[in-house]
Amino acid sequence: MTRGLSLLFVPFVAAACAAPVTPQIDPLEPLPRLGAYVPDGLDRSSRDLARGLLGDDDAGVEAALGRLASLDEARQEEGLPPSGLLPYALDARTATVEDSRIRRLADRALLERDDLEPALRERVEQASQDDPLDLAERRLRDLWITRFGRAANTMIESVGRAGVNATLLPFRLAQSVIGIALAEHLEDELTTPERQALAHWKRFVDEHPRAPEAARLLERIRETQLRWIQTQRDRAVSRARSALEARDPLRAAVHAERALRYAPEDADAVELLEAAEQQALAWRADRARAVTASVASVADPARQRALALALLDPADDRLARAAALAREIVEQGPATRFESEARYVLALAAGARGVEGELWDRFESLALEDVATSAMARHARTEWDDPGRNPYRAFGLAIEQARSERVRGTFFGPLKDGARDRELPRWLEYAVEAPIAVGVLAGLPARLLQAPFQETPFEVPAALARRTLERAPAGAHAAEVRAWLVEYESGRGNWVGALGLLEKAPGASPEEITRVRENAGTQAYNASLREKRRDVRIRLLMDAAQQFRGTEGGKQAGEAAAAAIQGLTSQNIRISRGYLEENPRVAGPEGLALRRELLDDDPTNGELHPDGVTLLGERVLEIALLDGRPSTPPQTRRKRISAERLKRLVAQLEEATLHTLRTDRDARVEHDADRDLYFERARLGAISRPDGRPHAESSYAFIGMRERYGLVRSRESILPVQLVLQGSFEDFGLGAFPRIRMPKATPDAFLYKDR
Amino acid sequence: MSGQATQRGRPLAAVALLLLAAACAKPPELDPRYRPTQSVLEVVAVLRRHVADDTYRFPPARDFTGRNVYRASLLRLENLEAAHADALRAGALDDVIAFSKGRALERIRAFDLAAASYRRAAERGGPLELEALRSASVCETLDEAARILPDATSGPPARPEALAIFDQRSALLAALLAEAEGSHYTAVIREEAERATLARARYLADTRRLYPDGDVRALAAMQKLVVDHRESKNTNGHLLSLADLYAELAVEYVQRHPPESLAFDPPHFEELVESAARMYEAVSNQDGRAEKLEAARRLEAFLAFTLKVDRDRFSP
Repeated sequence: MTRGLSLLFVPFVAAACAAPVTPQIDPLEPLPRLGAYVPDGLDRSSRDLARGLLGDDDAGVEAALGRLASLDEARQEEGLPPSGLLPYALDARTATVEDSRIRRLADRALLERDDLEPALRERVEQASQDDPLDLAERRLRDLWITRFGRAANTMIESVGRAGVNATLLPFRLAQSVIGIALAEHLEDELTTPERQALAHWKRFVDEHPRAPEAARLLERIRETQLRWIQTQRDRAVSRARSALEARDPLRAAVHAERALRYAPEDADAVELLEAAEQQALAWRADRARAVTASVASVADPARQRALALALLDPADDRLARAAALAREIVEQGPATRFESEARYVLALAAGARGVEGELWDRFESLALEDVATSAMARHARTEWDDPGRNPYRAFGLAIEQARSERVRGTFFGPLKDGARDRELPRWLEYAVEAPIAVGVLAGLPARLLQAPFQETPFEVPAALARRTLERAPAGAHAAEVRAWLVEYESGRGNWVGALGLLEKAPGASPEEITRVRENAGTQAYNASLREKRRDVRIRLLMDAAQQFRGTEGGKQAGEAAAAAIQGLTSQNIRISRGYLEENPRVAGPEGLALRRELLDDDPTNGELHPDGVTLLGERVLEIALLDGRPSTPPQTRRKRISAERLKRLVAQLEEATLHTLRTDRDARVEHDADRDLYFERARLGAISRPDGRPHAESSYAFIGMRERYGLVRSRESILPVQLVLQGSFEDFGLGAFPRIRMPKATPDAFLYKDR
Repeated sequence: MSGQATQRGRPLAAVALLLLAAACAKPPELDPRYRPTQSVLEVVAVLRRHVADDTYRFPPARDFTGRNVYRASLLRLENLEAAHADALRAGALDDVIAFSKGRALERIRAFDLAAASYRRAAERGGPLELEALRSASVCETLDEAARILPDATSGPPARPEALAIFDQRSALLAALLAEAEGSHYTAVIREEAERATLARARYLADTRRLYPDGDVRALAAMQKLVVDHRESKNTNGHLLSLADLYAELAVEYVQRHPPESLAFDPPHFEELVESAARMYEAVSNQDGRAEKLEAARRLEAFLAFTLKVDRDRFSP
């Protein structure tokens, strides 16, 4: 009995656990046939309007507009909703107005109507806002808000952050006042928004030279232009001064001359130019003097000849004879003629024997001598100091400097290099840093706590370490430098770099090489995946698989390369299920004509997978269907569709995107030239064969809003103020305060900035 | 009379006083670092230090004045000869100076002068004679190779002839390199071989508009230069030249096919842009190299050019 009951339950349990099976149906419905359409009065009036617009027939346009208006009135009388064509017709008429000012007035009048569709309203609003005068005023308003907001925010923040720790309030307030004053001091005579306004005014005057506003604007343009010239002059003078301070007279002269082109006879620029020319003159004189010959230069020719011949002797590449002669001279004491030269020769001989340590020790000892008495001290110092010739020394110095900078940063915070450059007299720069010093002191415990977790910036020592190995891969310091570089590269996750170094290191342990190689394989695999270009990605994966054979990364790279080659398609444009649900016209009969059952959430009649539909190039689609559970890989069906269906799908996709852009202010255009090219050709019916070029592939994905942003999409606040909760580990301050929202830089702001 | 004379004499006295003060004033102190050359040995020792330098892989050294060390040595030797012609007349240092000048001249590509200098050193006999003769012979071959250039006096030479001439130059240098293996001339000959490859690439780049496959050949030649001379000190410069060529091709492509036209092919343009950008970027990542700044600025300028192309035709 029990067994019988059990047997009865088996089919039910099996049915409940079994995944719903995708029915073997065609996922696409046949395209609906378009019946012969009989145009009505509205259609004919729209046609007449279009004819009038294209044929410059103003009377025809007005007549067609009148007919459209009366047809809409008739619909209203019959209790029908308006056709919605009239606002479009009025907008089309506005497009024929040549004078942009009159056109904008017409746009504004159109916006007064209440029957505009949201997409049309957005477009007309955008057009009406493209007014140079309005834009200029907006930029000036931005500037005012920025200045006022910066000052207000700084002061409010100082007060607000005193919530927990009020002891530093006076210092913070003083710091804020100084900060505001410095920001004003460092700001250009003509700011970026003002330069933008200037460009808008110029555009207006160019477009409407006879407009009544033009005369007033010309005066503003002239004034602003003068301030722009002043800005240029100030910058050039400042750069000239910095160059002069850095003892670079040639660069200083170039900047001073530039300043003089903006402001002829400017006293500062003239003074800087003269100073630069004097420095340059002295520098040239020194250089010329250094290649002349002293009276004593040909003295004692026999001794000079003997040592010179020994030095130039090609048969003695270890300079043994030269070293012996030099030693004789050196042994005679420091006052002996050519003693300095002989010591230099001894250094060369050490180098020729491959005793690098002795070479640099001898150069160092010579370099420290007085250049006024030792002929070779200047040459030895040049060798000793040159990071190109003596990179090992530069490497050591760079490490010391990086460490010292870190220690100074821990103890002195932003004042680690003394008072910061504010283009003020040095004493004043120190004076304005005084209130900051208190904050720096208060932040010391926090900085000490953070110090062990902070990385030392070793980029410069690493570059010098590489140069040391490049110069002398088997030199005296090669092993030490290589070990340091391996640790540095491993520390920053560059295992491939570390492996390259280890493999060249004599005596490196095989275990260490294996460990680093394993990590390098994973690094190479991950880096290959990040490559956007398909062909390069496959090549990198194959290289990684070959180079790191036997490692986990190498194995993954090989598998990924094989999968990528197998799944090669000329396009990979995906339309997710979420997108299709949010944009029913794309999936509907006017677009792709996807079978309705695939989107009805009923798994028994087949269901579209969240991956949706993918355009694979030419006219081939891949439709992902649910295989019972969303997590399992979808069942995919490939279908070759008609040119007509592809055209409709592409048109609906573009319409949907355009509609989103016009109705959603936060939406951004996502450009993809390869997608657009494919769509352009699909619309023209010009896709006869797949475009196999790697650069022709698009992997764009049309994703639904909900998939992208979740259930609630964050919107940009329209309030001018935001509330900020801020804490600081530096001084353990915590506070909540309002902050004026600063205007965002316009997308073209970068065109007005200087480097 | 005497009063007038006294009055007339006053300004004169003042001028004389001023002149005296000027004469007695301490002249500006000269930096002892830049004092004149102290001995022939000073020049020879510094030169000897740099004879073996691999100037193919690394930039030539600079002396304390910032000048190329070979050029500075040459200037010093010439000034020495000019200033002390009388003292040197005995000829004790003739061969040393001539030989050293040869070593300096061959590093600044004055191969004919270097050969003449070596021959002068050899005439004196002595321990440097054999090496001077050998060096003269190498320099003469280098000079011969440097002079092998397509004749452009009557317009640009035809491509096959020009390429044959470049091949002849490269072959001569390859043979010389085999002979000079192990000597300091290896670096000099490799520099010349690099120049020959560069000249070939430049010729193909300059004449690319005259031939249907001109762009492809120019790119291939420039790529060959980059690959063949990846160890050279100029490798970043070659990469920049190749990037410039790609950038130039991208600009020309936009001029020929305006982006708004249907003839504009985004993948083709993208390929040119990507190639140029990748190379500029590769050089701009080279820490500690002067070309880093050059590449970063050129990349920025090139990307600014692409701003002119609609984003639906090119999306970086």
